[in-house]
Amino acid sequence: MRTFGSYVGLYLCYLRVNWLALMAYPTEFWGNNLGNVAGNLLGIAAVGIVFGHVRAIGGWSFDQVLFLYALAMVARSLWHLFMVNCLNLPYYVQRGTLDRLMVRPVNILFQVYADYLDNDDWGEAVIGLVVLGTLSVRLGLVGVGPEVGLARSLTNVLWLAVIALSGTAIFAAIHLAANTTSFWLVQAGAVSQLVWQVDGFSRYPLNVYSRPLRFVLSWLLPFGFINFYPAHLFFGPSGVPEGGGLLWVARLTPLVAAAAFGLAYRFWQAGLDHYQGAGS
Amino acid sequence: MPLIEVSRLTKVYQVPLRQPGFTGAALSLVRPSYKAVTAVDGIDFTIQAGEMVGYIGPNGAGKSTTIKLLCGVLAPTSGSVSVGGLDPHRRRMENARRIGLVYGQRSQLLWDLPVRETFYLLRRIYQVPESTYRENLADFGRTFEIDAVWDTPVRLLSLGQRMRAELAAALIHSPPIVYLDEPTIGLDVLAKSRIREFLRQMNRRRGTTVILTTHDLRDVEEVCDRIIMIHQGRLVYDGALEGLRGTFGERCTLTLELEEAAGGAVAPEVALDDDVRLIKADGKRVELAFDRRRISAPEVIARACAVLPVRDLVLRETDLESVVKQVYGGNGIENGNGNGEGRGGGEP
Repeated sequence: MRTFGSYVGLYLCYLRVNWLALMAYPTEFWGNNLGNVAGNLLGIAAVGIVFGHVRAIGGWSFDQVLFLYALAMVARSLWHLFMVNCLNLPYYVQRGTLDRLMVRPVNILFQVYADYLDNDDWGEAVIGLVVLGTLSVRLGLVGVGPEVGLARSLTNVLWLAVIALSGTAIFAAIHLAANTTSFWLVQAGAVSQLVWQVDGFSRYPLNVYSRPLRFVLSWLLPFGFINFYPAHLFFGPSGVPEGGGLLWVARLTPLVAAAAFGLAYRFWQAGLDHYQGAGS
Repeated sequence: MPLIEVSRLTKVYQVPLRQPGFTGAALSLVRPSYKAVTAVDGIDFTIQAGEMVGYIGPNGAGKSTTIKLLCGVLAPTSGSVSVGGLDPHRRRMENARRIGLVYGQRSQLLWDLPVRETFYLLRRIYQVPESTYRENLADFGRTFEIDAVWDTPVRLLSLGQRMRAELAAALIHSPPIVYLDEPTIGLDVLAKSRIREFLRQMNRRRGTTVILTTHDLRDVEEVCDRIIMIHQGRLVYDGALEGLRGTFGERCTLTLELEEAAGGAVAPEVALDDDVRLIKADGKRVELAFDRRRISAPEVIARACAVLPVRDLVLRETDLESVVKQVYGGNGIENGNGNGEGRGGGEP
């Protein structure tokens, strides 16, 4: 049996190999990341432009919307930096590359994730962290002065870390499920593309959307648990348009994330069984 | 107890049927329809530890499917596979530690990086103990000449160098069983013969069991002591290489070049009985086949020269390729082992 420790060691070895391969093409790395930075800055600018015309969106202030936006950026970039290769699953299935992973004594999904890192999303990670940090201070969630308090600051930082990791798991779950369809569908790329489009909705608070869409974004493709619901942990009942009623939902975030990834993993295993022709 | 036991092994693929056009695509989303394709059809064989087996058959015969079943990549539809006492599909991880796999057309080397990086990574993947790792590397340094390319990026290797590195990579965890899928494809004659030599050495020194699928029958002739041949998913021959020749093929071919076109009218006079068979009479060229155990070459030549204006002649031993062609030509497949010498068949 392989221990958790051996997986950590193996992962570090994969990281090394990926980063060495990256250094073989430095121009590509810088080009992609500069493009990424530009794209993300434009995204933030777009939020600013909207707030040039309105004072609030769905009852959320400019700073709060940016905070939501940055929370999603951090989670998305963590997923992108370490787990993006599940987007290539359709190619692994079509070209039979998956077979190569299946003859190694290592968890197959682990290998899919570790096999290739594109390292294209460092821009989003850095910008996301900077924006999130700045707004956490500006919104009075974190601070060194007496007006916030050390205990509250620490609690908020801890929650932010938990929320960011939960968000990463939710991104991972959604993209894994979408790409696992490639075990059945030849055109699984279309499903994956659709999910990417839906990701766009996570930029604005869920309460601006219609009921059915809100339901989808909460319980089917739970993008809402990446930023909208967990935001209620930080702003207090008076600071959010729907009051304190959603606080308990916000606290469920890590559980929702774990459940989402668990379900996606079960789906992945069913896909593998189908690929191997085992069972039904 | 045999190392590999395959019994009544069958694999049926459900191939999705797709209707043309957008409506068809939409329909197949809602109600997909499948067609059953039998790739492997009730195959039985056992392989002992240390054997070198050539697994051959034409494209689409079911070779790769069988290898995938042996590796645990696919689950059998029915029948069973046991490798070292394990069901390779159910106990994928344990089985994976015991096997090495080399694909001639699919590399497992890290393309942009020096050869050594692949070995560092594989060492972690297979959790190879330090001592084994060092021993193997020292060994490969000698036999596979890995030392010379250790720091060279894989993309700069010649195909021959790459295949040797590929072999070494597949053996770094000292697997008792190695599956090779077309390991000499695309190599030049010299590189091919070196790979074959490496395989023989590996088998001799480490007792590694080798299962080799190939299109190049020279690989089989030079490396394997046993052949398993499949055709359309069914086993058509299992036994020694010599036996295959004896069962399916005449042993010698005599090609005659004539002074003037003799044509089909004269040529049959040479092939008077079962001992000598006319394969082809094509203007000035006549091809005869005979079994050397029943009639000697000088006798056949004498007989030919007596009735035909022979200008030149070439005598050659039937190679495996033509034997296999003969088998796939349609004769002897139905009744498995064929019916011995003197059968007709071959070219029409």
